[in-house]
Amino acid sequence: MQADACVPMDGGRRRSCVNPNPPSAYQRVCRLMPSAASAAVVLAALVVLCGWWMERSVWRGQIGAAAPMMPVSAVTFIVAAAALFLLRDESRGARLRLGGALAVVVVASGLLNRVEYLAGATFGLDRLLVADRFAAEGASYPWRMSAGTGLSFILIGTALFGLANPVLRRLAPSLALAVAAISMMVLISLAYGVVPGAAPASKPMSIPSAILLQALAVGVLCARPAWEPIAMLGRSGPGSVLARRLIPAALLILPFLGWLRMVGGRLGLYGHDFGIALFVVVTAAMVSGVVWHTAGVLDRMDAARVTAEQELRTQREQLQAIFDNTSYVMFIKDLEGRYLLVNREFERVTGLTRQTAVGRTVFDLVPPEAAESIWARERQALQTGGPVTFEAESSPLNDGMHTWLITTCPLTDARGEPTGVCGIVSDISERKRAEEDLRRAKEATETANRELEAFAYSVSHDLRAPLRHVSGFVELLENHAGAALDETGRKHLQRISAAAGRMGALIDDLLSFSRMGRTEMQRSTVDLGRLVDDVRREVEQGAAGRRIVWGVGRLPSVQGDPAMLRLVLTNLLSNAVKYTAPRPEARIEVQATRAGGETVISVRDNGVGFDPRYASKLFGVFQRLHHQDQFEGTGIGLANVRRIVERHGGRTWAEAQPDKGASFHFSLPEREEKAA
Amino acid sequence: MSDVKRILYVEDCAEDVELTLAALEQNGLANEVVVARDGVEAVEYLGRTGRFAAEPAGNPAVVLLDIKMPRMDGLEVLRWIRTQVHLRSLPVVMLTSSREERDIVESYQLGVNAYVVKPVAFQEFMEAVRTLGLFWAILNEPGPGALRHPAARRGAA
Repeated sequence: MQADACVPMDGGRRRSCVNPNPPSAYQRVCRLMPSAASAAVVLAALVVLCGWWMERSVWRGQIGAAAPMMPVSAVTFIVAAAALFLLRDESRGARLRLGGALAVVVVASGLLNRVEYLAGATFGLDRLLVADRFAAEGASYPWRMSAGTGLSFILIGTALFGLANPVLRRLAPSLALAVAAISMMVLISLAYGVVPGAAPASKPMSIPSAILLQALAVGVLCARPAWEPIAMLGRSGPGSVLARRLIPAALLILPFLGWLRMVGGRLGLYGHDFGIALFVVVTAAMVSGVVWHTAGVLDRMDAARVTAEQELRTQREQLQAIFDNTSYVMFIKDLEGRYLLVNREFERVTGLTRQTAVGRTVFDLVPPEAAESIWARERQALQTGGPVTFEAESSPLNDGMHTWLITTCPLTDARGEPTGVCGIVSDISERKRAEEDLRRAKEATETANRELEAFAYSVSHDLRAPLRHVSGFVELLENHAGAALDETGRKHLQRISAAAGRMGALIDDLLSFSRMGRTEMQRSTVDLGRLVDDVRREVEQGAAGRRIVWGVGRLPSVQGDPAMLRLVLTNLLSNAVKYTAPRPEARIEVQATRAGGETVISVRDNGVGFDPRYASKLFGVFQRLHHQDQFEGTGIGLANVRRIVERHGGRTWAEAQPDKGASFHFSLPEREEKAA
Repeated sequence: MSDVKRILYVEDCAEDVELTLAALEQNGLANEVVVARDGVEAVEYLGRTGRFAAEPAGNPAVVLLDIKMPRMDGLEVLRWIRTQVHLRSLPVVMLTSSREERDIVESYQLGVNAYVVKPVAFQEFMEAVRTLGLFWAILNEPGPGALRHPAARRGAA
């Protein structure tokens, strides 16, 4: 049965499942029918043969005046049943050939009967099968099968052969139906007590033969459920539903009513005319009833179909709304690349309306090379059966080149056959431009960095030398002419010397700040507690004689560059020591808190503080909030702190009030980030 | 003061030369200093070519080498020295304004014996030059091939 089978289509290029649904009850019955019919026929034919051998007339089908089934008929039925069993599905090879051969035997048996009738002879094959003594019984039947059975064997044999033969296959269902009609005629005649075709040279078909022919005919029809007209009964459409209900009704009800009418007439329940009237009325009533019921079923089917259609339309509306309101260009093309369906964005970008776009191809829209590459990718999607994403460039809007990201996917129908491709296109020109800008900016930054490095190098060399000369020659001048100078002169020389020294310090700081931004980070785990202890000892050495109370809390280990973090803490702690100088007792606290995925380290002092209005300037290069003669310094320390912390992915901030101490904080992210 | 050995001082800047010589003079080390004004002159001196062709043979006890100079810079001179068989063990000290990491790294990779950044403050500069002079010109025992200067000059300071 074909219903749930995957059959090769299109010369085997692709396999497709015709009907993925489980088979219906009708289909299951249909599938069993050929085997069941074969079994029943073989069994019945064996009973008939036994009836001959064991002299049981009823077993042979001799009921009342009815003729028996002849032994040759019984054997032919067995051969036909075997052929049906072998050809019950679309098998190939030996089974097919053997089945075909058996079908030919069946035909031959029927033809032999025909020859007997035409020649008016009796070959007596039956007597080979049963003992000769039956002849002595003075049988009321000739020793040959009936003409109807013989004809039916020719027909059913040809139908069976048609199951195996591609030329005769078209005839098979019709022949099977013809056999069914003949045997039906026989059965109904017998039921009505009429002996059909009782010509002198003929004899009636036996009851078992008629029944077994029915079974074979049904078996042959069911063996190929995909062939018309039996296929019509298997489908789910309203016509099939109608056929499934009305045909059995017609086949069963009418003969039954006819029989009833006749039996009633014979029993004298009613006259002939009244009998006809009664038959017509009951027939009309029963046909109406069946039609009535069938109409209800069809109505319900139709209602379900209408509901399904509405749902489909709703879904279609929803998809259409998405289709038309997206910022992507979307379309569907057929297998030749012609647009079938396009969305509003497609219309906007191409300037075509739906009506004009349908039927065109991408070759009508973009230059040939671009179109060829797009079409090549779409064919690739069709071949691989999966989506393909690629980039293409074109300028459909006359506003410069656009870069498009195109995803194309193959489309198939319900049977899995390719019908075309879809396209989803987004304009990624902005992103491309941004990427290009970013790349240029990065290049520019790298160039700037290289220049800065060269600049710093030359500063390091060339700016320091004149300073050294200034201070050197001032010294030599003082040695040489110090005695000749008055107090003011010597003071001026000292000023010159100090200024040169200070400028040297500024240059050194500037270079160290520049280096801090350029040198490679060496990340490792840094124990902040130990680092603070080291730095504290270091800065205390420069503050001999001061009273400093330290409050260092528990400090965690962090990820970072040890040398850089040491510089951060050195700057913060030495600032704290420096700006608490006026206090009789300096108090400096170092604390760490963890929150929001970062560690915040805070350094608080009770020093002179600063005006919070200028807090934003604190971390700038050479920015100072105190005068040189109050507190010495170049103003590079906090700039270095900020640069280092930012390279670690953290933040720096400070708060203070004038004369009420200051707090400096920096954060370090706990998870290692890629920092510049 | 013991034996003062000859120093080759390579420096393009006249002021630096004057200050360095003043510093060496104060410490009695100036009489055995040969000054080359750039890398080319230094190579000429060490190879006894050009205007140094007539100089007596023998290597100086130490070469004080500036980095940034016209024509041929200090690093090139150092590279050249290390390729010469008779100069390979010659002590070379960078005396320069550059504190740049890459200069320091490259100098040591080329086999410099010491790297001294000239301090801006004169007192520190004096101290640095004095220390250098004392160590290389007096304390350090030079390798083979070094010029033993005439005894007559001994004790000139």
